Amino acid sequence: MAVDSTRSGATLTTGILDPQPVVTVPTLRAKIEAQRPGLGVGFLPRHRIDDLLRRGELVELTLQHARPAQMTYMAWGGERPGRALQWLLRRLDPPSALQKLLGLDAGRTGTAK
Amino acid sequence: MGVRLFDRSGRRATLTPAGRFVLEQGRRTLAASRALPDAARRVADGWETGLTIAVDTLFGLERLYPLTAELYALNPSVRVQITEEVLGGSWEALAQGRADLLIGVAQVQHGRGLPVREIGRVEFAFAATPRIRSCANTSPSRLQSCGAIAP
Repeated sequence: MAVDSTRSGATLTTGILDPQPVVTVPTLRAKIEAQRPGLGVGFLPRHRIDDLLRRGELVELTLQHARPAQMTYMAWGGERPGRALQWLLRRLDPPSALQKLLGLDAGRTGTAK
Repeated sequence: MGVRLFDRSGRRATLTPAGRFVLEQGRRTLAASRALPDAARRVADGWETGLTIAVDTLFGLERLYPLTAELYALNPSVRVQITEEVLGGSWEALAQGRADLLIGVAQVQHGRGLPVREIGRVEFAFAATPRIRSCANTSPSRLQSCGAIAP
């Protein structure tokens, strides 16, 4: 079974099976750039690599155990948000506005198994 | 100040290096003190002096640039700081006051009483270099020898 051979961030251990050579990089952007030339293989957020997959610069492999989709949240300090934070919270509402900003609305092609 | 600001030895008085320094710093001090009442009014009106946004690396901090430009246009005296963090550590940043807003935390932590909003689902693809195509039916442990993974 193939597993992630690249990691982003020292504390990220999602989807790693030892023993296997592992490359650790600080950010997910670096992980994408490492996997493009074949420095490793691994799970990447579909919305970040949509263009690369379409252009064939990365290919998707079907695994026996796919990594499940992950729900993400935003959170903020509760007591008395200042006006800048209040503005941000309004600007990022509804969730579709934030999804668009983050590019999460791209690459929704179903589960492409 | 007891410092010579002008050199009067020539036909025309010129600034000494100390004079140039005082002129430059003076201009800045003047501009800063002119801006101060406005900035103080904004703080009195409830604006933050600084705002730190922590974005999970799943998204990438550059996604937030347009937003900070909008905020800057609204109020240039709010210093916006964006940090990119990795899954997990983000809640600490909020609890420790290192961030005011977290974007992309993976789990809701119950019992903290902090406001939370759903963003959406991130889907993952297991991705590799296209060279892996020539390694069809190759066992994962041999991917390196067939050229799919850089040595």
